[in-house]
Amino acid sequence: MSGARPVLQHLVVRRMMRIIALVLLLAVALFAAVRAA
Amino acid sequence: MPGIRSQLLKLAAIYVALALLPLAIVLLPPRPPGRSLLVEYGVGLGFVALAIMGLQFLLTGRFRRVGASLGLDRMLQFHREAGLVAAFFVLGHVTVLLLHRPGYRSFLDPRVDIARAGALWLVLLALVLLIVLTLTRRRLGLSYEWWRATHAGLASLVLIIGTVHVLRVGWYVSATWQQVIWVIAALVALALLVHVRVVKPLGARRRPWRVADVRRERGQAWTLTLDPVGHAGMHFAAGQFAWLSLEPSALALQQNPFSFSSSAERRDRVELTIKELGDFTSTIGSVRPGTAAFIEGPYGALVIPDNASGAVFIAGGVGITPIMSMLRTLSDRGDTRPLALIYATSGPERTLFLDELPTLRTRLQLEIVHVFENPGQEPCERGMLTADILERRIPVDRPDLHYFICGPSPMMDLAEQVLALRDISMDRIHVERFDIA
Repeated sequence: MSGARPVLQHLVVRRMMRIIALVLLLAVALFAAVRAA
Repeated sequence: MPGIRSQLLKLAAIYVALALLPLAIVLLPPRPPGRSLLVEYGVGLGFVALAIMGLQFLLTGRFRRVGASLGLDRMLQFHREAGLVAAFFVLGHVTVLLLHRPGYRSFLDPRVDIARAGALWLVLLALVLLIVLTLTRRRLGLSYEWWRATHAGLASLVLIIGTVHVLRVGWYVSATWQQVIWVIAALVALALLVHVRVVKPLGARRRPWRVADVRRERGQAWTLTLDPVGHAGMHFAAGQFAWLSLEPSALALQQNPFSFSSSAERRDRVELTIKELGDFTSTIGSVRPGTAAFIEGPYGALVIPDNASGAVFIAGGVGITPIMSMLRTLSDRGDTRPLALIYATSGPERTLFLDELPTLRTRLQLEIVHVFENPGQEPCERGMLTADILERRIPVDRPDLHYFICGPSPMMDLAEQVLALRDISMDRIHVERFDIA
């Protein structure tokens, strides 16, 4: 046994979507910084 | 086949690139003058929200290649999570802009422009309804068919109004080519919906089937036997499912997904085993032989790889259906690999295929463990399926085997945890969740 906390497959998808949402939020911030007057 | 993690990462990278495409396009000239940081941030959130909404139609596009490698349930779960993110971004779009520029409140003021305000309130209401109806469908007792139709209608409404909103505001779409891109993107998304809900079901109607038999099974379930009419049948892999519609149907496009329970060796006579769970499923028992049926598929990634050295099946209730298709197929092929089935049900009288399993045991290298909540006199594990039972019954030191889990969510979570703690690779754990949608 690895002792690590098991990761259920549907939780992997949920985590991935959360990371995607964060990346998108950061990308929007970058866009706003580029576009801001 | 690449692992699930690497496939998910690839999907995530493509998804992020597509979701950010609108921002990349609006950065191209002609560019309007810049505004304050928060206004641009709020506007950017709106663009990405609309892109995510458009991509939602892509995720439910029933693409066989993606579905076959990743599993339609994972795609649907991704779709579901993405819907929540889209709503969050819309909320951010509205909140940031209204708080930062109170003048923008006129957008939602019917006294200023009743058509615009009406459309924007409608889109916000549609978004709320999309989420609430999806999350509470079962609690509210809504039929799957009604929810599915409403879901498509509301999502289309959000996409159309969102696109018109972008065009009407017009800040980043002054050039004709920019407007054309937005309109085309929205039309492609809607075309995908029409493809899934109209074109594919109509395609299935060109290869009709006929109900040959309706057989009552244990545990409030029915097996429909279907014969092809004027064609050779359907190739499917054991463990896959198809979308079924039956005549007479008021809605010609009505479809529900069910697993094949028959052997994949018999493409000319397929069986679907369906448990009565309300709505359409409760009408199966009254279907008459001779009724016209239409099946679209196959779909699903719950399939035994050819190179598997053996398999362990963990089933709960009607989750046995795709596993039964696998066992029957392996039996027809004279498979000699070691197999184990751990099958949890409430009791023998509610155990699907209880009478046929002993025959399969004699034909295959199959060990069967029944877990009955309410057992009779037969040898079995007693009570609910627990980690302890799984620990004892899953073969030890066999990371080379493939593991298939299908049943109610809590049971699947439990089985996945036990396997993960044994360091079984995620690529060898095959799950299919029917309650994602």
